Formats: sequence, C-alpha cells, structure tokens
Amino acid sequence: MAKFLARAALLVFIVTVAQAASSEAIRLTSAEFVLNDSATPPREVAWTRVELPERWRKTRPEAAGPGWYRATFEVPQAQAQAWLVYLPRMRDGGRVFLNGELLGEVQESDASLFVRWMQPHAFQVAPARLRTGTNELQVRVPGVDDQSMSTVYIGAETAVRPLVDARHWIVYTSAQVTVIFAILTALFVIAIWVRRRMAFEFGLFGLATLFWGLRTVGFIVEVYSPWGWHAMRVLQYTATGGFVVTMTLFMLRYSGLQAPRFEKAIVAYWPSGPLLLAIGGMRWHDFVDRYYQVGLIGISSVMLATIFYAGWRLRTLGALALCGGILVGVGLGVHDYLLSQGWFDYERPYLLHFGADLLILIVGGLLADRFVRSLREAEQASAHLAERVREKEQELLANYERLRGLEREHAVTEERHRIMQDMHDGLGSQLLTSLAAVERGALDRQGVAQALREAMDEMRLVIDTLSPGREGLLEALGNLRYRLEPRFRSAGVELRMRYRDIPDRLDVPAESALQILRVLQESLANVLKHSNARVVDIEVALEREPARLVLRIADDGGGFELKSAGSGRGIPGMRRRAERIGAALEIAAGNDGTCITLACPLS
Amino acid sequence: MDKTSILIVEDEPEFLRMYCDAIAGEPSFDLVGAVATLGDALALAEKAVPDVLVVDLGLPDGSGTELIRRACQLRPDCDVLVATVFGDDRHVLDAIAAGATGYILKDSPAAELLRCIRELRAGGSPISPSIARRLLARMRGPEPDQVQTRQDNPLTEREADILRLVAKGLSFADVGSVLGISAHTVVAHVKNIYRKLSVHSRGEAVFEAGQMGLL
Repeated sequence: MAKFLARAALLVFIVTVAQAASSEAIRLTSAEFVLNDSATPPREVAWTRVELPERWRKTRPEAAGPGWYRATFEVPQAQAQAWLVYLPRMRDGGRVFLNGELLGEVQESDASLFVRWMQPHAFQVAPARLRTGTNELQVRVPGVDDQSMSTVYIGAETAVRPLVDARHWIVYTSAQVTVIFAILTALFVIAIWVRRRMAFEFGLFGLATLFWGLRTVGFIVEVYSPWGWHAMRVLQYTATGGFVVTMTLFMLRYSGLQAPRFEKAIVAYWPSGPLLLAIGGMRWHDFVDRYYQVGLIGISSVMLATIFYAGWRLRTLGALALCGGILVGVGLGVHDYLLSQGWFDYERPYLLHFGADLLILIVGGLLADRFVRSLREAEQASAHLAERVREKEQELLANYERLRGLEREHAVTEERHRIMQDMHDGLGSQLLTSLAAVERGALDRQGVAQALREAMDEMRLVIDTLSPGREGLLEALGNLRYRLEPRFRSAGVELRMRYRDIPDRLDVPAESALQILRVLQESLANVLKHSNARVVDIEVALEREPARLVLRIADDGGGFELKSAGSGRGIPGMRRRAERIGAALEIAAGNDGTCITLACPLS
Repeated sequence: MDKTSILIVEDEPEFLRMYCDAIAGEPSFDLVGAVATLGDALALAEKAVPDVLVVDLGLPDGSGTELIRRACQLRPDCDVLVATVFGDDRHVLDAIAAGATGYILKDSPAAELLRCIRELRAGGSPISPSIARRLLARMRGPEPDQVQTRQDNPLTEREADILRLVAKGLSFADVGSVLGISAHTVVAHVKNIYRKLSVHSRGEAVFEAGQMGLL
C-alpha cells in the first residue's frame, strides 16, 4: 500500500513536471465553438471563441444538443513519427476530426446505453496526415446534460504518451487498485470480526472499508445500461454515505466519545439520499448530488472534530496519524465535491480514493497494532500463568517433600516405638525375671547360664530381624537354625528344616518376622529342655487361599505338660506373640511327640 | 601325627580362659600361645605361624584383621577362626577377605569350638545364610543375572549355587542333597570360596594400591 501511494505521488509529480517540461506537446487552451448537429465538421457557420476547458453549465446554461469545437495548431516541418491527439477527459464521448477527416470516435450515450468515461482518450495521427504549417482539429460533443470540454494536447507520441499513461494511472488504475485493496481488506477484517467478536470498532472499520471499495467501483465502470447507471448512482451514494457514517461511528468509539443521539441521527440520515434517488428516479440526481453530499461533508467534519479532539487528548502517534489521514481525506473529499460542482477546471482528476486508501492504511495499522498488542498481552498473560503454574508446582513439590519427610519421620518414630516395646517385652523382662531369680538365689550356676543364653538368643533374633539389608524371613530362619545347630548337635538331636512352596524370597513385615522367629526359637528351646526328642522337623510352607505362612515344629519326644510349661514365657508367651501378629497357634501334644503349628496370615 | 598348633588371641579373660581350657583338654591340639593384644600376637606370629589362629577382631591395640592378613601372608595354609559376638556380617566378611576361613560365636559351647577347629583342619568351613548372601553379593555384583557376563566373577557355577542355597536358609546337609553331594563337600566348597574371596580381595587391594600410586 505504501508502495502504491509512493508510486501515485511519483506519478502526480511526473504529470506536473511532464506537463511543464513537454515543450514539444502543444496544449490547446482556446478554441472556437458552434452549436451544430452536423455529423461532419460544419463550415460557413458562426463560430464563437471559447476558453478550454469549458463547462457548459457555466458558460451556456441553456444550450442543449450536439456542438462543435475547432482549433488550429502549427506543425513546423514534415514529421517522421506518429503524433497523438490527447483529450484528458471525454466524459460523454464524441468524435475527433483532423483537417476534416475522422481521427477517432468515443462512444456516446444513446437510448440503449449510458457512458461515463473516466479514462483519458488519445488518438494516433500518422505522419502523413499532418500538414506542414497550419492544421485544424475539430471535436464533436453530444451536448448532454452538464456537457464539458477539456483541453487538448497535441504532439509527438513520445512526448504525449507519458501524459496519457500518467493520467490513466491516476484516474483509472489507482481506482481499480483501491477497489481490490478496499474489498479484500474489508472481507479480511469482517471475517476476523465475525469469527472473533472483538471490539465493535473492527466491524465498523470493516464495513467502512467495504463501502469504500463499492463506492470506488463507480470510477472503473464506464459503460452502463440506462437502469445500470441509475443503480450505480444509488450504490455510490449508499456506499459513500455508508463510508462516512461508519467511519464517523468508528472515530467516535475510537475517541471514547458517547453521542448516542448523534449516532442515531447520522445512521438515519445515511439512507435518505440513496432512497430518494432510488425511488424518485434520476431526476433527483442533481439534487442528491448537491445536497446529500453536503450533509455527508457535515458529518465528516464532525468526524474530523472528533478525531482532532482524540488526537489532542490522547496525543498518541496513532491518534495523530488518524488526524492527518482524516484531514487529507476530508480535504480531498471537499476537493472532489467542488470539482463535481464545477468549481475547478474540468480536467482535474478526482482524488478522494487516494485519501481513503491512506485512511484505510492508517486505521488498518492502528487496529493491527491493537491486535498485536492484545496478542502480546495474551502471551504475557499465558507466560504469567505458566509462571504461576510452575510456582504452584514447586509449592506442591515442597509440600509433598515435607509430607514425605513427615511420613518418614513418622515411620522412624513408629519403628523406634516398636523396638522400645520389644525391648520392654522381650529382652527387658527376660533380664528382669532372671535378675530377680538370681537375687532370690533360685538359680544355680547352670540356671544363670541358661537365662543369659536365652537373653543372648533373644538379642540375636532382634538384631537379625532389624538390621538393614536382610533378605526377608528365609535368611533370618536360616540364621536361627545355623545358630542353634551346635546346641542340637551337642544334645544329640537331629534338626531338620524343610520348605514347601516357598519362593526364593519371602518378605514379611519385620514385626511378624520377629514374632515368628521367637515362636520358633521358643519351641526349639522347649524341645531341647523338655522332650528328650531325637529328631525335630521344622516345616515352613506357604499356603494359598487364604494366603498364610505356616510354620510347623514337630518332635518325636515325650511331649510336655501344657500347663506346667513356662511361666511368663513358654506357651503363654508364644500365644501372646501369635496374637500380636494375628496368627493362630496350635499345640498338639501326644505320647509320640509334640507338634506346634503357627499360621500367620499374609496380606 | 603332629599335633595341631593353636594360637589364641582374645582380650576378654573369661573367653580366653574358656578357650584355653577347651584346647588344653584335647590331646591332639597344642596351645602354642594365648595372648590378649595385637602386638603380642604379631610378635608371636613373626616367629612362627601356628596351624590355627583363633582371633577376636576387636583387640585393644588394633583390629584382628591385621593379624589375619599378616599370618596368611607368612603362611597361606594357616586356618583362621574368627571369634565374634553376633556373627556381624560386615566384620566377619572383612576378616574372610583378610584370609579367615571360619568364624564362631563367642558363646558357643567349648565342644563347638573344638569341632570347628577340627572341621577347618579337615578342609571345611562353616557359613551362615547372612554371610553367604553377603559373599554372593560381594563377589558377583548386585544383579543375579550378571553371573555369566561378569568377567572377574571368581565363583564357579557350583559355588554360586551353594551360596544361593545357604543364603536361602538351607543346611549343609540339605544343600548337599539338593546338589547331589555330601555335606562335607559343601563345607569344602565354602572354604574354597573363602580363599577365593581373600585372593580376590588381595587382587582388589593391589589394584587399588596401583590406582593410589603406592605400587
């Protein structure tokens, strides 16, 4: 877009410079005129002198019907190259003659079609058709309503062609570009706005741009059917009014001004002109063209005031750019209005679409800026959110760590408590009862040794089950058997141990393991003390459904008195230990031996 | 047949006396010394290393492992019996690494001490499940599956099997019947394993010494 504007500016510059510099091109600014409907250049009539460009509305308001212009120019010598006769504007068509012969024709309006030429027209002249010396150019115009005649440029094609091209670009190509640019921008903005209901301004801007694109279509369509021309005029006022109204609404919102009644008023005003033209027909055209547009210029000036107020209040680059853009736009709009009302010479091009392009560019830039800014805000918000999430995560992690620490601490405390309890129940009470017995003198040397040995055994059991790095119950069972083996050997008792359905590794809680080992140790001690057995069979089995570990200690001795056996320890002690781990203890004593079965449920 | 010469190193007078009495009552054993300090023991060992050393690890002037290492250097076929209170794995394992071939709980009956010494002289070594597990772990690394892949694993398949079964709590007789060998062969294997650990450990020590720039 910037490129487009730069190019346009360059072309305006070229036109100006070229017009000044093209000394080779002759510009006819005066001519002779006669009102005459002859099909070929008339002779022997009363010509009157006129200045070009001429607008009939001003110079001959009551004239109607075809007329003829003629002017002469000098060709100093015979020409080798083609020349061009160039009329910057031939809005209503006509015919061009050189030295009495038809040079070219531009379609005029008739009953079946309506023309409104915007492009410049140029006619090539072969060198042979030029006379050395004085040549005469005649132009026939149709003499329609608001007929006008532009100046005429004549000269070598090399000199005149750039003028034609430049004007073509300014009045025609740039309008085409504007149409495409505005409609694409509008569709883009409106599509975004419909999909993402962002600020209402986006929608207004999209509509304004769309209106602008539609308005400018009138500058690139040149031939209409009669009703097509009517429709085009209605469309053009609708679009122009729509543009002015929506743009004004946009500016009001952009500036943060609240004027609901004014807004309603201009929205109501908007369709008035187009409706009048649509219903009333083309005879209302001049009225609408003059007075409806004055209203639009009034609305535009409110828009101007609004944006200047905003620019003064906000003092942001965007607001100031808007001010500049609007100023240029309104200036060009006034220019075009005055041009259409005949205040300027007929050849001046309409320029408002450049201003509108500039405005669309500025507003688009502002909205894009706002869009980018809100994107950035969204990004910052999400970054902030991510940061918060990370913080929370770390907090959670810290909490979790703390909880785990507490749990660990709790487990350690629990374990300590258990060990203390164990010392109290086991070794402590054992030593205490032994001590009491020794002090009472109830124990002989062997009894003392026995008591101490039992205390020692108890301690080894505790160490065996508590020291870290042990591999479960089997190892502890093996260690116990290994420790007791010498005693059984010296007592002449065979100690057998069998496993049934036992996996390579059997993990039971340390508490259960300790109690199981104690029951085993106690049972084996009883065997050694009381039974006179020859063989002890230990069976360790894993049963399923219900899952339990079954320990069976069977000897072939004489059995022992269930009641008399043991006081604090012995059988009641074994029962207590079994209870503590929820295990069942069965003792079957008979003449052929004793069988103690401990069934410990496994979770 | 020559009598078995025995040196006892024990700082607890009660145990020292008990061991001395037990050995004195056995005609085939010859008590060549009974000392209470590492210094005295080393001095005696320098003169002549006996057939059997009964050593307490926690001596007032140093660790018994030092004596074990020196004695085994001077006389590799010397049998060392470690006397320990709890059969504590780590210390016993250190002693085995230093060259001990057996250990005995201090409160074992006198007869058990004599039996142990006889078993050692006959080429066998006692081993508890915990010690077996430790040995297995120490000699082959933590993963059981790596037995075949580890290059420096000094254990034979059979030896590893024995340790595994003992660690599981089986008696020597049971291990023997599982593997189809006698209980005596099992304890002989165990003694071999002990020897290997000590050699293995010496290798490691040499390696480490090399690493530290001592050699």
